[in-house]
Amino acid sequence: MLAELLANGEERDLERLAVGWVSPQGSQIWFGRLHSALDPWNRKYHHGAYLQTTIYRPGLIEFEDSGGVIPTHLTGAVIEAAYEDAAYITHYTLNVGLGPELTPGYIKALDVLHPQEGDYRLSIVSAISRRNIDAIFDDSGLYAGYVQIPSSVSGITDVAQKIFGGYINTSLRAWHLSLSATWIDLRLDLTSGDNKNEGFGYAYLQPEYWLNHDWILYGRSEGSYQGQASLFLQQLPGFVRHRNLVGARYQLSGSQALKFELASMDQFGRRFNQVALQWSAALP
Amino acid sequence: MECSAAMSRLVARFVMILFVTLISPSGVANEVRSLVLVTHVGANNINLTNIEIRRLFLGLPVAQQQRRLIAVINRTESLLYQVFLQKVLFMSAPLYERQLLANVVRQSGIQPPVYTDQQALLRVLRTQPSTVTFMWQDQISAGSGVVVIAVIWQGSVH
Repeated sequence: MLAELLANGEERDLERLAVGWVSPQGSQIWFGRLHSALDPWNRKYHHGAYLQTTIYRPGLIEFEDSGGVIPTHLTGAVIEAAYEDAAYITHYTLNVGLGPELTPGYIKALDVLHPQEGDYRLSIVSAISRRNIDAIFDDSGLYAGYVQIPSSVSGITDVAQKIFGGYINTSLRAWHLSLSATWIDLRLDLTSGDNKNEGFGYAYLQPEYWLNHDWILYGRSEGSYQGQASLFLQQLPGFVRHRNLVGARYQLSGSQALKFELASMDQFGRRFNQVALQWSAALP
Repeated sequence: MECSAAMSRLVARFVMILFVTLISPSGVANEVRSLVLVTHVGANNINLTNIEIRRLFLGLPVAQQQRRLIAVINRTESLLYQVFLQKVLFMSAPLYERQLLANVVRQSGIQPPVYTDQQALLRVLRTQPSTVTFMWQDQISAGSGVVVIAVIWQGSVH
């Protein structure tokens, strides 16, 4: 059984709640509210600020209520199978569950504490990833999804997303590089009875230099492509369309980290710079 | 007379250098020790590759005879833990601990229990046949209830 609770000054969410079974070989099946297999960030770091190198997630896969545009949570089932050969482990993931709802200002994932609130439809996501059996960082993969998003926004009744993407994480000595690219095809059903088809891409490149045991210097460049005229993206003002950042992560003793980040970003047409400092810790 | 005094000083210096060399750490013969993987005495048919050992101690699933093995981290001695991380897992302690946490959060990993007391560690190994840990070979006594399944590193430590 797994539960992940997020509490802050603004919200208290049960981010993950699931029961599952893991075979001795690593294959697993889970039921509940889980993170989707879209983009490796979701399944690698979850809500772990301490685990990820940067302070902020890439804009595309921000959590639903923080400007994200594709589902980071699905409530249903996930099956994951792992196959090993001499040098690689290949993971297959199939995720079927209820996706988010489009509400004014953001997409909203099903709240397991209040499941009766909102309108949710079945979505499906699958992913395949391959990692070097002996490496902790290096892996690559592909993912795809079909997501149905009912809308409570005026003018739009439904949104259907077809998502395709791929990523690679690779390292060479002290250098670690993460590259991810996603394409989203959208069909919006309008209250007028018309349909609107649109599409946009999103990619990020994050180089990291692991200076020594304590310091990691990093940067990230991310941005959307062909998203300027998207009616769907216009509903999500929190979406970060472009961002360039540089930062440093310092490992403190006792599973604590300190991060400092400078970013230049474009959010809903607003361009601004941001300075962020974060302390994070993994408590026993 | 002067020559004799010079010779005496030379001999005294030689004796001093010899003494200092003998008592200094570099003069002490490096002790060759073996780091071994151990398990319950009844589970001696466990056979792990280097990659499986790495995966096991990263908290990832490793099975033998349809049974998932459980890694136990031996932190009864700082040097032992550091040698294990550097020579077997090839990681620093912060990176290892971060990686363990990531695997647990990822749903398929298990946080290996950590033992700082040798007797408690041996008790767990004796009572749970699926547990595997690492220790110095010279710390294993007859009748301890554990068996060596592999020598994972051998070298001089001081």
